[in-house]
Amino acid sequence: MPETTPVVAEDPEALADFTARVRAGEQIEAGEWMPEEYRFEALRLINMHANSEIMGALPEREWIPRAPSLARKMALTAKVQDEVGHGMLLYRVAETLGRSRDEMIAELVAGRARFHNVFHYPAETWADVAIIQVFVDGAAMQTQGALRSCSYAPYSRVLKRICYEEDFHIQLGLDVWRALAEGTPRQRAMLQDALCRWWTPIMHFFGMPDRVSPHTEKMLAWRIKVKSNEELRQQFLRKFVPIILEYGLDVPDPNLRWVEDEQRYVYTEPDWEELRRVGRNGGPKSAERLALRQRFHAQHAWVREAMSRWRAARADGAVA
Amino acid sequence: MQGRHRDAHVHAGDVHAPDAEMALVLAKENYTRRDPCVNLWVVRADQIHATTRPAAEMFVPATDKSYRFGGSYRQQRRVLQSSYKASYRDEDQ
Repeated sequence: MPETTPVVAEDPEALADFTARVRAGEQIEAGEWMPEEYRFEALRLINMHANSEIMGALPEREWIPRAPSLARKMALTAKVQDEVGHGMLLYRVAETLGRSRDEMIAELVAGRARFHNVFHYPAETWADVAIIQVFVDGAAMQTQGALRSCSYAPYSRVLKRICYEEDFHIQLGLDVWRALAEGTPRQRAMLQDALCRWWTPIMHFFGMPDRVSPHTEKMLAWRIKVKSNEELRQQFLRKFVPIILEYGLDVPDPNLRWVEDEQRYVYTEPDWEELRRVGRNGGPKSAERLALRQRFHAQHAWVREAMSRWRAARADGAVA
Repeated sequence: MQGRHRDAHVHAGDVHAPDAEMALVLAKENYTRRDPCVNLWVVRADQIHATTRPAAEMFVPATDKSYRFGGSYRQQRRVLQSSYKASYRDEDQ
């Protein structure tokens, strides 16, 4: 997918009508007229979200065989299945904007597409699973919850289902979190260690500060983005910092504090260069996870082939 | 999908499948993981006939249609059943 927005001269009347509708809070349906720039930005966002769902299933998938009990194993399997299901829903939505699923998947497995920064990092211990389920899914919930009121109706509809399921994931994670936080000193140390390792990726999750994020203004005007990166980061901190403190764990940023007058948290600026590097598939686990995705994509080629041959055979009348 | 027998089917979403049989399998996997379901329908998207977006106007009633909701009848019944009316009727008999 090209990185830059296409420049197209739009019909001014259609454009004005479209802009007025979006501004009035209306939603755009699949197949309706839309400016090329809108299509491009919406597709970029939804395609990346879809990629992130199926790549996001991988770090936790590693823990299915090692989950500490059968109940945890079943819940984790269900969660991973949900994430892959979300990928399917989102690729369907992206397809309504004019790219084929084959094309998007091919680009992803070739390492030419982007997926969310947090899925480029290792899940080293069982406590990482708790952190992913509470904090990573919790962060995703802020972004996706806000986007339920975005201007593209098909995206908004699937986000309602996705958020409904993400809420279950957070509940599941809190249960794992509680078990470890109220556990032995070793379990608490394991949880604290995982939290420290995940803190920077989680602060990166919401993207660059608003002043440097190149698309923010336009995305907000089109309502492909509903809240700015910084608004979402603050919303996340307000909800999740209390969980850390409630269990007597340390927030991994010594400078983090609540400023009453400004009604916001101040924090140490994370290394944004790391986010840039990780975003270009240069994270610690990027190559390994992409290789895994490639391997299974190749290994399961026969399923896709069987399905397309079946369709061709039916079209020929070879089978009833 | 249909949540319980005798409920109306409700649209849940779409799937990408080579035929109806596979579409049913994928719909089951994607849309019935949690909520109750007793029956699924799938239909090819190009087999759906729909009105256009601007045609929404044709459903807007041209005149006041409040009489279709029966609100005034309920109001009349309340007046009729009020104690004032009841005593008035008694006197009449």
